[in-house]
Amino acid sequence: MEEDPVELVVPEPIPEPTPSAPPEEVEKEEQPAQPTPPAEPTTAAPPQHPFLDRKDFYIPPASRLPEGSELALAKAFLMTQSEKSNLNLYDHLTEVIVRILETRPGNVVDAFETLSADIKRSHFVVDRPNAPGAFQKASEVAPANEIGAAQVKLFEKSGLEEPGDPEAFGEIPDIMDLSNLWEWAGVSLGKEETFMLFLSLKSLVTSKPLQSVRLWGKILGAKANYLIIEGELKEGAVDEDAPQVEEEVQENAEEKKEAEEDEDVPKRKEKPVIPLPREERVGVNKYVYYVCNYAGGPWTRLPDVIPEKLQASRRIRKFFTGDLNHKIVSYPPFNDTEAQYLRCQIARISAATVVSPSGYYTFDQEDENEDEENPQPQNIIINPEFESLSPEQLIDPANWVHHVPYILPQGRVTWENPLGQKGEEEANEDEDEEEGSDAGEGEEERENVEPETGPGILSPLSSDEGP
Amino acid sequence: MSFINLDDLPYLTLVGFTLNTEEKAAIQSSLQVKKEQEKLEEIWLWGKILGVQRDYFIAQATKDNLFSRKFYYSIDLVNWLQLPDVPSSDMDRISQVHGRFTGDPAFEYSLGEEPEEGAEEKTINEEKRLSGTVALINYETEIVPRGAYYRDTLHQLQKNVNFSGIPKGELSQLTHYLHFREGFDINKRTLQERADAFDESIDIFETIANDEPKGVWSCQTERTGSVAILRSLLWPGYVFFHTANPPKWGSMYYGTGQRNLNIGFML
Repeated sequence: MEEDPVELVVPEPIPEPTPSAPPEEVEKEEQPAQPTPPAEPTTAAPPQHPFLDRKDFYIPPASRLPEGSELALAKAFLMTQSEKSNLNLYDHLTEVIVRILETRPGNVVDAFETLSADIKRSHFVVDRPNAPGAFQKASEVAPANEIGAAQVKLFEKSGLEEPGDPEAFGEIPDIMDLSNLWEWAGVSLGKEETFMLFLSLKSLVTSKPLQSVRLWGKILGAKANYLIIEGELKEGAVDEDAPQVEEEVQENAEEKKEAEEDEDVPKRKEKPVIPLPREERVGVNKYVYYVCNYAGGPWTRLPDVIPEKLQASRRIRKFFTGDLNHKIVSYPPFNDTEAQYLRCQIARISAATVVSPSGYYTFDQEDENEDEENPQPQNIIINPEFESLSPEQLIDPANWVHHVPYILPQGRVTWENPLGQKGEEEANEDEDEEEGSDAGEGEEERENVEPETGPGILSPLSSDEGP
Repeated sequence: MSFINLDDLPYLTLVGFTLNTEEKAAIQSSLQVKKEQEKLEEIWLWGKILGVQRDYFIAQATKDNLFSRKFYYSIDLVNWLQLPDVPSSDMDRISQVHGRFTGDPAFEYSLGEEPEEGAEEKTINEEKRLSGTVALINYETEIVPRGAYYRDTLHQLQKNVNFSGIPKGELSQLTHYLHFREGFDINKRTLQERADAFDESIDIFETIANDEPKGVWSCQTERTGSVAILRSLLWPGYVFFHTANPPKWGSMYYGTGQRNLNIGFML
């Protein structure tokens, strides 16, 4: 199947002399093989072997023709390229003789001119590279070759890998086994692709500080698709791939703020300007996501969710293109790349659809993180006493629960006062600049904001509401 | 022609879906039985429409004229029932229903309008909606590779047994894929177009490269460039594959049966 050479590709130069090759190279390469066949009868040194006429036969340097300066000069002349046809006589004669020796026709001398003309004709001279019949590089095939090369690497790696310390690397799911179960649900990535993805996952956990990974899924784009991996960073590990967007966003925010102060516009009349703090390694951003376009392709880390972007992503509907740097053009404006949009959609899909049988996860009793503002416990652990449910129970949505926390309308899992936290330096500074009465108002206003709430984690599917 | 050989299902895993073992096994047997009962020439799986409660499997049977086909649906994968013909007056009603299929063929959709006094309430049942939807999907998405069919001297549509597939390097060119539907008239083309791009015997359908809006088809090559996968973004779920070596093609609809009304905003 793969042997099919693409018709439009320029044929690889065959080991025979090529007219376009520079003379020096030709000399070095061809000299041992080519001048010898005519020399056979004269030099008695090489004994008659039936394989002497093979052009891939190696002739030891000792039996080569001595090369005087006269010969070199003559050769150089013969190798002068024709301006018209870009051929030279030396290469041409070599080809003719090789052809004669290959085919061994009777009465060669009579057919010599015909042969010579025939060979000349066989060189296709491209005078117009874009002419319909001309050889062209088929550019569409190039990406395919790239994919092939990248995938081959997966297999090379898996063969050479040393056992090492298995605990040093993150856990990976046995997706080959899981794929059988997905197939019952009518979902499949294809056996080969799943396997390559598995190898690719393996190399991902060895190169990144990931505690565990999960195959999140695949999103089809118009030009390319995304395979998405959800990973949990190791505790205390240095997050090398940490998103670089952070600074940019804050800069933007500062710019905006400055602009606003300049114009002397009263604050908080419009949408909240102070960007909501992002959740770091908790809530929406508990996991990190890596995507690639095809199994075996390079993994790219997605940025963390920005609450404002998540709000915006709820209001737009766009197809994915397959290019992470693609700018999302939409109304209401999203103002970011596809990478952030993808990340927001992943967060929303996870929050709405990731489920587990009730009782599989339980609240962490030792968790002391509960505070006044977030009375709902967030941390869940696998229940060691979980007993699997019967099939009859499993088809009841009441026996399935969400184990990914609900995302509040503001784009965070835990509610954050959009007017700033109490005692926060930034907020204080802002207020200091204003008059005293204003500051008091701000304080009051902040306390009056109704915190957003949503269903807690591990709530059953049967209590889900439509959009 | 929109059909899928069960053997070719692995190609569709490239876009993420497949049929499970039970479905494949059952369809294989029950379609054969149906073919025998109805004395059909050929019967193919057409697709699967996902309902809220249950899913519909759709099969199609061909006769002499490739354009007059019969469609059958099944919920239990064993009994196949013929889809009713839908008059054009009902097609208008069908295009007003946008929700999900329920999975009950007898379900009546009311069209939302307040019925005038004395007039009956306008409704459409799901079986008819299913039939109309299949017809709509066929009209807007059913595609074949260029050269797979030709018109003979009697102007009859024939399957081209010598079709050798689209060359590998050109798999992702949309001009190589044609809408499998009637109504293409080469005489309506300008001479210029006819000279440049048309071969009268095989250019018998409209090419999908002219479809509006631009980008309504997503075309990708998979398996290191040897398989072309085309997805309709207008009818999410319609997938067409073509590979040149061996020359095979097929397509299947696997979706909710809803037209993407937002396509203008989403591209």
